[in-house]
Amino acid sequence: MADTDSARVYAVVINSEEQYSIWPAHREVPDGWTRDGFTGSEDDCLAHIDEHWTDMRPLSLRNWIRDHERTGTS
Amino acid sequence: MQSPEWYPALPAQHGMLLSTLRQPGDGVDVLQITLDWAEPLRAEPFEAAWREVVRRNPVLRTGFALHDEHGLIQVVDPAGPVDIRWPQLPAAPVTGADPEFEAFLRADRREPFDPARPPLIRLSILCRPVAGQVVAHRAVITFHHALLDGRSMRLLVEELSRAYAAGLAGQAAAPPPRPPFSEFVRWWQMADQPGAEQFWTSYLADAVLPRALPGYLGVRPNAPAEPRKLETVLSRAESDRIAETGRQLGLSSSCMLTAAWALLRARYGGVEDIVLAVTRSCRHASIPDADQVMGLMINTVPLRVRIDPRWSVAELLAAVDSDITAIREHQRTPMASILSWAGLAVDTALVDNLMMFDRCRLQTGLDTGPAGPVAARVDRLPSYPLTICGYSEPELHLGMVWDGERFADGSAERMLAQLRSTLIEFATAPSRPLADLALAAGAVADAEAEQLARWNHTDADYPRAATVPGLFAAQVASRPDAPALEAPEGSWTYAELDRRSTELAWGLRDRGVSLDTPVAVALPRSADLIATLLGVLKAGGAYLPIDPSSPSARVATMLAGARLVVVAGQAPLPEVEGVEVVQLAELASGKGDPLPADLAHPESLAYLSFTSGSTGVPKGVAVPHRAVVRLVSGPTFATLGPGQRVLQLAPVAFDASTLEIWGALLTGATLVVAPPPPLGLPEIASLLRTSDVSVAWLTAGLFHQLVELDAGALAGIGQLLAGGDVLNPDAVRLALGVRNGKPLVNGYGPTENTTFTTCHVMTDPAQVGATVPIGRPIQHTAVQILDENLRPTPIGVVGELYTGGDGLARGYRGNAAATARAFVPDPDGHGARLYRTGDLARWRADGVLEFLGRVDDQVKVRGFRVEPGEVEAVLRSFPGVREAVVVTRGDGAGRHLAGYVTPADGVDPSTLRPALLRDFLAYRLPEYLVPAGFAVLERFPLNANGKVDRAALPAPERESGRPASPARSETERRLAEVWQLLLEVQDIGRDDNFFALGGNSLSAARLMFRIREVFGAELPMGSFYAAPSLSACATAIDAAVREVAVGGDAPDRPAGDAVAAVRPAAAPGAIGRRSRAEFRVRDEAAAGPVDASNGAGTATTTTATTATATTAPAPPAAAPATSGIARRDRSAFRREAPPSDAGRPAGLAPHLVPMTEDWALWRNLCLRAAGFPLDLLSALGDPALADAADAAIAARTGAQTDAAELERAEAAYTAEFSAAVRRLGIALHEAASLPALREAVAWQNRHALSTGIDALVRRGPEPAIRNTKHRQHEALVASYLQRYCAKNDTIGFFGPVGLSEFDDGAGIRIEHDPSAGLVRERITYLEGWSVRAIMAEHAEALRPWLVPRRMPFLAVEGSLLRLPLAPPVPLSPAEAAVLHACDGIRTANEVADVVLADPAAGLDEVADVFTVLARLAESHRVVWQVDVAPQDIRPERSMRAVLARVTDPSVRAPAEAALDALTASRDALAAAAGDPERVVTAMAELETTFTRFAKVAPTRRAGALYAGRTLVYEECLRADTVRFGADVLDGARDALGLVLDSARWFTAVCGALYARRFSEIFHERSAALGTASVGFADFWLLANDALFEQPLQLIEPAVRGLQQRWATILQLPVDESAGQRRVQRHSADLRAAVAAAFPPQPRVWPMAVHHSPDLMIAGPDAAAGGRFSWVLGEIHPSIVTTRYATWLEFHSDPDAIRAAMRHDLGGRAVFIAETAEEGGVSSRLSNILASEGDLRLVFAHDSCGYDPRAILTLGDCEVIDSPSGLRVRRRDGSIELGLLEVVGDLLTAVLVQTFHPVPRGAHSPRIAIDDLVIGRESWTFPATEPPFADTANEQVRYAQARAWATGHGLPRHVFLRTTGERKPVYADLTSLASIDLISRALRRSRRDAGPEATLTVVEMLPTPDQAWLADAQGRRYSAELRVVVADQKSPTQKSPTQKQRG
Repeated sequence: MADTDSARVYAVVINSEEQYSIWPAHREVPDGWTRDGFTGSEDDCLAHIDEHWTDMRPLSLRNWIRDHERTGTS
Repeated sequence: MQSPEWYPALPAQHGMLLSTLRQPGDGVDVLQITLDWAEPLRAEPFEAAWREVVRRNPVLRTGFALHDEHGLIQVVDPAGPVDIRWPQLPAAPVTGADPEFEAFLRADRREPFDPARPPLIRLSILCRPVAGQVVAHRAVITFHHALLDGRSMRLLVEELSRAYAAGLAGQAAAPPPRPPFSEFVRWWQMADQPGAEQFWTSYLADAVLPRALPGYLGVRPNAPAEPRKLETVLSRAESDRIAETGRQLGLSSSCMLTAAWALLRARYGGVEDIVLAVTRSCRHASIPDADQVMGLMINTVPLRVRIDPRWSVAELLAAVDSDITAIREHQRTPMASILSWAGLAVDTALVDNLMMFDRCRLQTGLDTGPAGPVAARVDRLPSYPLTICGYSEPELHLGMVWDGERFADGSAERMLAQLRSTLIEFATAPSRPLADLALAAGAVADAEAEQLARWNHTDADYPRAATVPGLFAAQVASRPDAPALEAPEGSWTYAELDRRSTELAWGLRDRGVSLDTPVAVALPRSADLIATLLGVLKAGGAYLPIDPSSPSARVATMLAGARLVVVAGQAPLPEVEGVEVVQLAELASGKGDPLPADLAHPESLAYLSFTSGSTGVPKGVAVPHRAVVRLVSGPTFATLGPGQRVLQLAPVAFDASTLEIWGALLTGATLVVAPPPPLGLPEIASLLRTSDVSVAWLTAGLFHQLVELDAGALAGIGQLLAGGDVLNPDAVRLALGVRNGKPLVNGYGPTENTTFTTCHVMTDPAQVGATVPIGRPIQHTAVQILDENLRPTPIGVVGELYTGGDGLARGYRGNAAATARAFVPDPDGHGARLYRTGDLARWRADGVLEFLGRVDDQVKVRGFRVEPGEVEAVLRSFPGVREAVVVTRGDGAGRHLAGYVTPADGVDPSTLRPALLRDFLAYRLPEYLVPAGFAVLERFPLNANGKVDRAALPAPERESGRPASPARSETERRLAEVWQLLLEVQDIGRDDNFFALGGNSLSAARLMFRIREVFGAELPMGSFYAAPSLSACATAIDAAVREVAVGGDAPDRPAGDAVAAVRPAAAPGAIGRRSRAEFRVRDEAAAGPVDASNGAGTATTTTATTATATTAPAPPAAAPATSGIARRDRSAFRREAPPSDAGRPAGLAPHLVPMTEDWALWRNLCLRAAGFPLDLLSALGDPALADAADAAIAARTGAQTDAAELERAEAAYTAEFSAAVRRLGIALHEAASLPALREAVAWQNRHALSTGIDALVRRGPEPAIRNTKHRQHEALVASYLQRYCAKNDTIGFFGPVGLSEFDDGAGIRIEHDPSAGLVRERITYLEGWSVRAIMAEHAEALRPWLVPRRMPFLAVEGSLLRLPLAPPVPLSPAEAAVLHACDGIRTANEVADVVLADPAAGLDEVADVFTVLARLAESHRVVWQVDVAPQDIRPERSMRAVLARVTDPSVRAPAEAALDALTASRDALAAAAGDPERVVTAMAELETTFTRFAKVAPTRRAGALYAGRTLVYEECLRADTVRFGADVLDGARDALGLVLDSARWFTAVCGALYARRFSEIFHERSAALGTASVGFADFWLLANDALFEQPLQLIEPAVRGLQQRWATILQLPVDESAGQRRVQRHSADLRAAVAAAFPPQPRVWPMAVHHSPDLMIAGPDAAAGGRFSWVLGEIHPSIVTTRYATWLEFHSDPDAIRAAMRHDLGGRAVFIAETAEEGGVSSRLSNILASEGDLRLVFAHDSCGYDPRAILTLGDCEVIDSPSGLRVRRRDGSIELGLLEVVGDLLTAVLVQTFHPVPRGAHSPRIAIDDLVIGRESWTFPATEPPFADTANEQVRYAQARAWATGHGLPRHVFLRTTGERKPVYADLTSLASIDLISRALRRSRRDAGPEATLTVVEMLPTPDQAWLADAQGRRYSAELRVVVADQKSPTQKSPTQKQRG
């Protein structure tokens, strides 16, 4: 199975909470997810995500924090 | 007479007969054809038609037999037996289901065919009322499939119909031209099948075992098959479409169906290579007119389909077509041969489904003429779990047949729908790639999608917006004073926990903790830990649990990024930059103000939990508040909330703790915090027992161990959850069994989805199949099973489990790539994510998920998820290592990791020392990730793909580089043995470290348990962890044992003391609370029955103890070595001078005392008595409570009762009840504390001491809490007590026996021996099997000196071997010579001498003779093994005699050493008798010794006559002497004489019934053979049913006749409506009627001269010569029941008894030779009353030890007819005897239990003749009737039971027996304890025996106050006399066949 996996092309996708994942590039992306434009092997996609997904908190939480300055992150 | 025709059976017939034999009674491969006619059937012509058809077709008269040369043959019976039945059924319903008919089919199918006895086909013509008239429209033809195939069924129905039509018309039907089946068989035999073996062997090579069929539950023991079938018919259009596609591709519909099923089966199995079984018709191209032959002309062979997933449908179809073509040439090979060539078992899981295809079903296109049936139906049960049937005409028809007991509901339905859908999909889109098929398309897909949505519909309202602190605050507000947690150090209310955590939260805020901040917590399990976790969450932070014992490198990784780490005291933590270490005490801010409510958010982090990661770095799973809230809100798997007590046992680093902690604190429950780790198994078990938890979560490993070692600890927990790894179904069944309906939940879920994803709730052991499912999604959770393309798989098809919902973690902290890889888009949209678990699973059709393993090589070791990659990564970083591989080895609890490395270039492999590798890893990885062993290899073995071939890696050696320093002390030596068993490591030295040898926390827990068992010492786990070497552990044990010996009071010691020791048995702390004086008095009294010196010893010790007043056993030196059991003075038993002959009938032998004219008694008799006095039992009775309850009931039901009166009565009952509970507790506690009781239990089941009795003792006489567990302990003690007091159940198997006498004096005289207590002598015997088991190791080496015996069924004549029911087999000269030489006396060496001296044998070397012998032994011609004669009650002696013959010391010495060790251990146990503590230890030592030598556990032998015995049993002789003056019989003589008259009649009638049956068998066989004699072995096998299987059926007329005659004589039934409860008759009035009804009969066999009544004496004054009556227990006809070996062993003059026997028999007798096989006789019960010259009948292979000249062996004898009836003659002419004479002793074994003159009805009165009670009053109720059994409230239950008992007028003292229980329960119906025991028995019976279960109640007679047997202290015992009566009248034996019966 590993052999076929490495040959597969994936797309980096992102949802409304700005969470990242990967999805087979040739298939339609499920509702609620969009491509961020990067495609490649699984490893390449994951490396891309590692670089770009630096704040893993869901967007709704980040927004809530922004609205409650007094809570603020350290 | 025409001789029978026979020819070989075909392979398919073989297979079918075999599967029938494997599942007898299930009706496997029985077919039923149901035919319906429009007109009523006319009996005469229809029967005639059937007879005609049977006459014409030999196959319908065929049976099967074993032929030595040809194997299984079919034999055509020329006589043409016909089985026609006319069953009557009630009227059929007008429409709809016809349950009466279905029930008939079921019973009919299960009525077995005997393959040896044709016909194997029967015709049932069903008669049912229609409009007032009984008519027959329907017939069922039932037959074994081995006779006919599908085509033949059609031929049969057609031929029958034609013959019937002809008969109706008064004509004869022309027989159809039909070649006989034998021609086909001949052709089959002739036709060559070259190359079959080669073809099939390579065909199945490397076949892959698929996962089981979806929903397959496996074979369930004791669940008879319930065949189910389901059919679906495709539409015309669909059928055409499929046929059309087939035509285009050039394929048949059957090929398309096969391909569709192959694809589906592969997908269900998760494989791409699948094997089906297919049925092939073999008529084609065989003989002329083959299509007209009636017979079985099919064969079943495997069809293997290898599927390339890249194929299109058309490619698959083409491949399957060529697969089918490929097997055609070899389709006649037997399946059994194919499987055996491939090395597979007959029932291999590789082939679990059968596919059969036919043109049309039977009902379609039947050509039956005018009188034919209008409808037909076929029912079948093939042996395969699932059978697929396809028919192509007229429309395509699909069917499935399966065993409903073996599949979960709906599974087959779902598969059938998918098969249909897939077949249509094939036809519609043949060019579609397989990968794109839906498999379940269209309507099926829609239905499945809807189904999946329903199963995933787990949403419900819950506080989704809440946080953990928010929910906790709500609980604080609503129940501030409720207990929040209980910890060893104290308990806190919700308000207190709130205050404490708030204070900590402020302290954390002060140090900068806020939202999402990780706070590491490194605290031991405690209340403070819980408060800290809550404080972290209140502060907004996320806790990060740290186990301070983890390797510091790993801790450092986990700490990175944390703000601070909270510790208490000195924690050895690595320093990590930026992480502040804070003492818990420093966080005490003193601030108590509430924190702001919005410091946390549902999406902010609650905690971080680390799991193993493949890159070598652990992954921190980041879990938000919502995930926690989701887990505990409205759980589907448990009930949480106020009142529940949730155990906190899981380490906080384990996410099980999430459920425990927050499941309690967020719902208002109480968290019960276990003591800090480490905890041993006994500590955990005791915690579960005593802490009253109602919810507990156990890891799979811990759960399995508790089930194995102490299942009782799991019984009382209200809700039990287990999981974290695969649960063992056996363990689950066991746990459910003890839990009595309380649920057990299998919880499944990865940490990434917060503790649980799915849960499976189970309550009933019967629900558990071959695997334990993981259940359904829990609340707010979705589960999807997806294929590699992330598409849902159809229900039943294997895929990967993905999960989503509110339990999802945020991801892995700081690891975006790993998060993105594992959390993928939900294909269903909405932007949601699914976590990809890496687990394989599938849906069952009922919505339950089955777990099927891991996708990758990630594994679980002891419940931890392990990525071997992580370990490999660290291992690879070791200097000098080039490559590293880590694999798992072993199974279950023994599963462990093994590490392999290769050296880098130039590195010396010897430098990679395992110890260095271990230390290196131990520093970096947690303990569970460190491999248990390492191996250094030059290079790794590679497979064909160039990958490391993991299967080829050698098992690494555990490190033991240095020589072990041997154990020094005895403790060290025994401890090393314990380690050896646990760790499977040899040569353990005193410096060895438990953990270095592969031990782990689980095996350490087991070790603590074993130490308690073996040494009686309890070590706390903590001290063991501190010093885990053998020597240190042994020192700790010695200290613990010493401590007990000097009276240390361990239970009161603070926990955690370095070495606390308590042997619960030895130091019952609770007793210490009693006043010393009271204790002494009680103990002395209790010591009486067993041994006075022991009691005195204990008392002395008690006086000597310190102020804590704890008792301890006497120090060893003070204990008398023989415990006061002196050898008895035999002279006391010697018979005195013969009594005077005055008043004796002339000629009466001296061993007899006169009874009546017809009957005399043996002077000797045996007394069976209870081992415990009745006053112990009386103490449990409570008449005061009964009075109060009765008064309350009367008040409730009385018409005149006013409210105040009722209230008073109720209040009085309530008050009395509390007092009664107290009284009962005290009485039971007192009984449980008796040393004698401890000892008795230790002999029977020492485990019951630790699981019940000690617990009761520890808790004291008046425990504060009386919970379920405590009640169970009480029930256990009460149960033992009633057995020991009311029944003679112990001491010894028969109770302490007394050998007594009748003399000519007056009254009863008891003489006490004041020096001996109750027991004068004990004998401790080894069981024969234990000796055999320890000799098994040496069997091979001993062979030359063993005596080979011919199997009893065989005979050798010249060079022929005679076999039963088969033609003789020619022997090779060598075999013949060896078999002749095996005379049962010669050893193998001597046999060799004889054979080598015989030139005809052609053998030159001893070794050659042994080779021949070995071959003969293997083919069951001879027995050549270590034998222990089953009748040998001293098996070690005869084994020594065998060993003495061994001339080779190197063989003899080790065998003798093993025997010495075992007997020494037994002797130690024997010497310990009388001292309970020593018995417990010695018993454990004996078991250890046994296991050491036998290499197997001393498993109990569950025989019908063995009550929980193990390796040994003990018999005891009473110390007192009892004598009876013969005049005590006066009131019973005549009455007993009348009953004995009827027993004589009964035996004779039974003998006549046997004789008649034997005669039928003989003549049938002799006619079939055409010979005048029949081999005795043949006869024996044919008579097997009558002898062993169904004897009761045979003698049923005798039983009925007996009871009818007695009913007439006694004028029964009496008028029950008049309430008559006593029937008194007088012998004088009955004598004439008895003489008429039971006239004297000739003796049927010599031993029928004796009968043995069990008699009891009722009357308190009996011993003083006062009034009493006799009670008849049973009469055992035609046997001397005092003949048993163990009784005679005690007797001073057994020869005199033998002489008595000889005198009465008047000649030689034949006794059965004992066998240890099932149905045989145990050595204690073996008959040693046989005299010189008597013969033994040998029929079992293990009967040995008798002189070969004095045995009758089946093979050596034949049966002949004579004017006086059948006779048995030894072929050598030396012996000839009547058949009944030979088998009489065996028949007696049946008769002994059947003589019941008065049957039991719903209520039977007590019946007495003169002073003899021949029937006790009894009642029979449906077990469902008593209303109280299920009542939980004891007070209510007791009142209900009283109402029930008084309502039926039951006496106070009764015996009760429920269906399925072997032993009756003695009950005092005023006793609370009795009501409890009855309730338990009833519940068991209702559960196990179902609605048919009954409860029989028999009055206890004599009642406790009527017992006459008293000891020197005046305490009374229940007792029974076994007497022997000799017939003085019956004429000498005559053959019953000659005699006229009236």
